[in-house]
Amino acid sequence: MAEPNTATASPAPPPSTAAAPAGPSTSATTIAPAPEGFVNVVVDGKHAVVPQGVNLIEAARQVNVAIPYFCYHPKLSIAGQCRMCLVETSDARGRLVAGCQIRVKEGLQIFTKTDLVKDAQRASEEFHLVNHPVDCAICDQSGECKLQDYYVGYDAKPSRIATYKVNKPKRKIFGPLVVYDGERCILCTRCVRFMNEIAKEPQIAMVGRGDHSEIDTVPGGQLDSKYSGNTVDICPVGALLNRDFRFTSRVWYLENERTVCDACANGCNVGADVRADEVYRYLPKRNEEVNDVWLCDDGRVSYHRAMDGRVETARIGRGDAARFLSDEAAVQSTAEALKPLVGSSELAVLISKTLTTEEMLAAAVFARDVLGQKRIYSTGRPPGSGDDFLIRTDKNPNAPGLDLVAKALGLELIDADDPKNHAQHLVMFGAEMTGDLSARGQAMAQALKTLVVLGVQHTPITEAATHLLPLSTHLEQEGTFLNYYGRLQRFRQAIPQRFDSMPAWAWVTRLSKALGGQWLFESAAEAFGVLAAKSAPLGGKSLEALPDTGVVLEGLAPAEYPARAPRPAGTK
Amino acid sequence: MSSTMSHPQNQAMEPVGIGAGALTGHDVHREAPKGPQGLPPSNFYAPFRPKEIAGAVALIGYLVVLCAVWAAMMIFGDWAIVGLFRVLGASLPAAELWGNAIANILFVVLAFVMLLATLLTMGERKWSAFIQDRIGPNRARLPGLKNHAFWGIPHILADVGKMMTKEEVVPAMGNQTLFHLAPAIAFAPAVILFAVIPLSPDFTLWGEHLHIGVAPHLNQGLLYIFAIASIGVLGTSLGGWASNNKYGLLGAMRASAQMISYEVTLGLTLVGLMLIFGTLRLDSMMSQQTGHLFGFLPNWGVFYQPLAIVAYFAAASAEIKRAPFDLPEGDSEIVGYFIEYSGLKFGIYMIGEFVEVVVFAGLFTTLFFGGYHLPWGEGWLAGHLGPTWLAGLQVLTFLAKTVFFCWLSLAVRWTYPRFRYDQVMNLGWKLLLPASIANVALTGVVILAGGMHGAAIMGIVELVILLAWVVGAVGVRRSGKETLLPTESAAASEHG
Amino acid sequence: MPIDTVTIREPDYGPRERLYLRELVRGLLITSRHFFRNLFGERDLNSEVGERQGANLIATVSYPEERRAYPPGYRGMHRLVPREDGKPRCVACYMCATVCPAQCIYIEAGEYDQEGIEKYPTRFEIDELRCIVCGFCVEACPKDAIRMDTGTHSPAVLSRPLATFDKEALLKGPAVSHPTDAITYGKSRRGEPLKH
Ligand code: SF4
Ligand code: SF4
Ligand code: SF4
Ligand code: SF4
Ligand code: FES
Repeated sequence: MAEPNTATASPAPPPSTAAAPAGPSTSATTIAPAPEGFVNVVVDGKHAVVPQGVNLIEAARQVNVAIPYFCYHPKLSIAGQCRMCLVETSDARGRLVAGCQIRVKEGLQIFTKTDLVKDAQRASEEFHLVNHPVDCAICDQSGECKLQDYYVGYDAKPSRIATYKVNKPKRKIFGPLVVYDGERCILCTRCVRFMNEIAKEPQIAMVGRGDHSEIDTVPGGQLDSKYSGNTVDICPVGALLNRDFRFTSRVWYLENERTVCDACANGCNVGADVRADEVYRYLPKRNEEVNDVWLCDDGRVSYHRAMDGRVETARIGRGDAARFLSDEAAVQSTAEALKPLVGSSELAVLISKTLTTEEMLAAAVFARDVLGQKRIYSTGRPPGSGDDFLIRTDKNPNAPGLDLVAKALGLELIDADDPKNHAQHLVMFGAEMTGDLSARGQAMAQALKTLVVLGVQHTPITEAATHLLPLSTHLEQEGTFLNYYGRLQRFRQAIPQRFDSMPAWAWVTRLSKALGGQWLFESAAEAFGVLAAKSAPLGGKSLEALPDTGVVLEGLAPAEYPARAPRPAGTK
Repeated sequence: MSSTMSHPQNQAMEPVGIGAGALTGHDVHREAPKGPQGLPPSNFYAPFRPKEIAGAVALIGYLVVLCAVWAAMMIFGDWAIVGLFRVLGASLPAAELWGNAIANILFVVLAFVMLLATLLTMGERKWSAFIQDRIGPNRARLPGLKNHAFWGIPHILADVGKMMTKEEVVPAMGNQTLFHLAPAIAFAPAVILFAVIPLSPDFTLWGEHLHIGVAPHLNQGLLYIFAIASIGVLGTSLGGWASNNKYGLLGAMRASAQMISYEVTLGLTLVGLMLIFGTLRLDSMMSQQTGHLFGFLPNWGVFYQPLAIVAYFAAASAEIKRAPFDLPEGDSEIVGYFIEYSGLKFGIYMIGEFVEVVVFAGLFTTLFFGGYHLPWGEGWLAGHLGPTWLAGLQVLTFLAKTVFFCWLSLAVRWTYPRFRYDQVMNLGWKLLLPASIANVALTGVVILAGGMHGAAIMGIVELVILLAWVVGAVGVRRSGKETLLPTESAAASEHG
Repeated sequence: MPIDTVTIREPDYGPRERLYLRELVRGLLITSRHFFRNLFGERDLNSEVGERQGANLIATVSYPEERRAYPPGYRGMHRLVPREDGKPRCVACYMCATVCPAQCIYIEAGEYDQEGIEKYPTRFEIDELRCIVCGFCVEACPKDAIRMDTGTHSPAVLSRPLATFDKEALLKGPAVSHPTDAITYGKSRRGEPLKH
């Protein structure tokens, strides 16, 4: 397991000691004794009260002093590979110690700016660059590369190497998501340690000796763990790269927008790297209680749902009779088709468990009050494999949310996506379905007179639709997901709505208007407000006030978490 | 550090293996400019090279030939039409009267005055370009002759086409009748002014008695000129007023004030000539300008009335509203009386201005520079070639002189800056008018005392004084230092 | 309120200056001089004004029949520099697109499967209408892959999209190689075949 005692995971020091004197103070005797479990240290003359047992890097971080490091990672064991973190301490002036390995002790003084340290940092950086190809121009890491940043910060001298550099494999495919460039690798072993300690699937190791060392997969195997993408994130240089993201964009063009992964019920926090209205990749965002700093590979590529195969414009009619319409015309035509069906028992409403809670609320009130239904059916992606860490078997991001909505509105929720008994006319909010989609699509096209589908991507189901309305993904709207552990997580709009798509609540508003209903939602916050007023677990919360890391709703938290899953402090 | 990335940056900028332009298909690459920048061109004081002198002579010869062809066209055209009348059975006097008149309307007024005026529209642009070291218009091409600019002459056709096809904008609140009438009122007097100018003496060609010039025998010649010239102001002032435009009105006011002021001077400068020649008829003035003064000077008006020439030239420029007296137009300030005119109506105003230039050049020639008379050798030519050939040469002479004075008028326009309005009025009323009155008085006294001979002596004395003044031998020097800057002179007077 | 007044005294001109007849004639002589030199003098078409011969003073260059030579550093239209094998030298690093102040370079990168070099542009477009011809892209390129040495300027076009030149249109001119390019051709820097 990762070291539990990182500064970020520890409780903050008491406020009285946090406000430490900023002026230089070289003598520890003038400093008041630290509270229980904390020690006093002085970093470059700045006094800090830090938790006992943290290393010098974390201690310095507390007072905003940066000690450079490559191989250290707060969530991994200490390897002491890179020697970039060398500093001087008051214990032994004139000698260098590794900031990642040495722990603080009471009254320790840390020096990070002495000539000795500076020279060591410069030398260390130069050593790392001895055989480095410096092909930043074609390196995806460039722009977020520690080697680049530290070169500018701690070396910034021209190369003194006049001989050939050691050649290593430039483009070795490690696994489905990861490609390796041996020349760029600085052999920090972060990737190896991650696979051993966090993913617990030791698939890679360091092989060879001296300057011919490199990272390689075990013979005959490949890096195909479900968590392999994290090695790319923690690799400080461009040695491990994401094959999905490779060469699609330079990182300095991208804006990181905080959102939530919708690939499974875990609801990992991610940052979507966005340029204009396109998402280029997902990176994990730290949430110690949900996903720590990790992300699974399926989640990592799940942004493709918002990019590829989208339903772009509204369509009326199926097959040869298909006509593409503006959204106003499509709403009119859909409303006309639905008008005679209001209150009919021939009609069924399906709501996908992939929608945001606000969309579900809107869809449900539409089913109840405008279409006169007493029950709703749930639909969603088929379950998949899971584990005891991040991956849940339920691949829908918001299944508990639909329960919550149905309960709040007093609707009967039938957990089946196949309303056989009266399947003449169907309204589907979300085109996800289980089973053999093409067979089901054909069957639906035969059996159903009316099939209104609000869909994100083209599937056999959307093919079968008589009325197809383009739906926005969660990336294109504000909203919440209620995850597997009863945590309500809020996300903001990351990209503009693509094509003609709209969130379900916006479609409901228009359809409702055309059908004479009273449910008109102007925003997700409004829909959330409607739900919060009716639902006990939400207890009058407002969307705006929800914290970025989410809240666990009362009564919805599980009794026990899976063995390795990150969880709120104090839960089992 | 990196071998992949590092390479000499200068290589990136240096064309390797190609000169700039190797990819363009044009071989335009030359050496970079040498020598100091910002100096005048190296040939600023270069003399004409022999081949350029040869070219100049050729060009002048070419122009003379052109004028000769023109003259021949007038003469033979005249002969043909008079002959036609005779063949058709008209009596001799009638044939000569009507034939000459019609032929000259066709060949002098239409073919010469109008054509020259039209060419001048292009000449002005081209000549001003030469004065300003430019090339001037040379882009228009005749169909099928893509590679010949023809000195810009196709631009005339292009301009005509443009003027005729442009939308005519008529100001809604203006006086419609006058607005449409005004260009014609301005244009017509300019054209008919030329009627009284003789281009040749009476002569006989193959039995027909001919003269070039519509009505040179008019008794009231000069009065006709005054009368018709003063109608022109109506065209401008009515046009500006009928446009219902403040700038137009401003231009019209300036035009009428200026033209009426200078008409007085214009008239008075010619009174001296009337006194000297004792006639108003232009043809008899012509016939008196033959022979030589003191045996060598051509017996021309210029030697009798040099003061009047200066005043007349200024007054005429003001009368035809050309720079430096172009205040009614004032393109850079008020645009002028024709501001609302567009299309062909504007074109008529414009061509009218050039017709006026031609007419006044013709008058200038006639009154002061011996008209159709050659300066020397007329007697010898008459003896050897006969009067008919001489008449042909005289028409040619007249054309050449007229073209020269047209050029002078244009050169003046492109040399001097526009006057301020008060300066125009001061010059007209305070300088030119008194000077011309004095000239009349002086001429009268001298003629009374010494007759023609005395007048000639007076004129030559005046001319010498004038030339000396210009050259700088005589003149009233200002006392004191040459301090022209007002602040400097003020400072000098303060500090003693 | 007292205000500063400046009295400007008109210079005290005598009658000669007032009439300025002499200056009139002088002015006329100057303009006539230019007129006749330019009328009779033969135009020397040498585009270097400083080297012209003869009496004609006209300095106009009648573009496009006559052209002045571009100075050596002239930044003409861009070209993508080819390698010896005809493929662009460009490695789609986006440095030019990043530095471009007009944001007129659009690149999409792709990957070569076989070659030692990995990255190349699948699309490389420059909107020459937006380009401000600053040359920063040339400066920024680490591969000497974009140059402005064509000596032409971007041609006139009849519609805006035509001013956007794609990779095929930009890839022209003589190939360029540098000693450090060895890796481009599937060899290591020591000249050995690259291992993959
Ligand atoms: S790992 Fe960093 S330093 Fe190395 S090529 Fe990539 S960006 Fe450049
Ligand atoms: S691949 Fe990256 S994380 Fe792994 S050892 Fe090399 S540099 Fe470190
Ligand atoms: S010359 Fe300047 S503006 Fe034009 S493409 Fe290059 S960097 Fe952009
Ligand atoms: S800077 Fe050079 S190598 Fe990089 S994308 Fe532009 S042209 Fe290609
Ligand atoms: S961070 Fe300390 S040795 Fe790498």
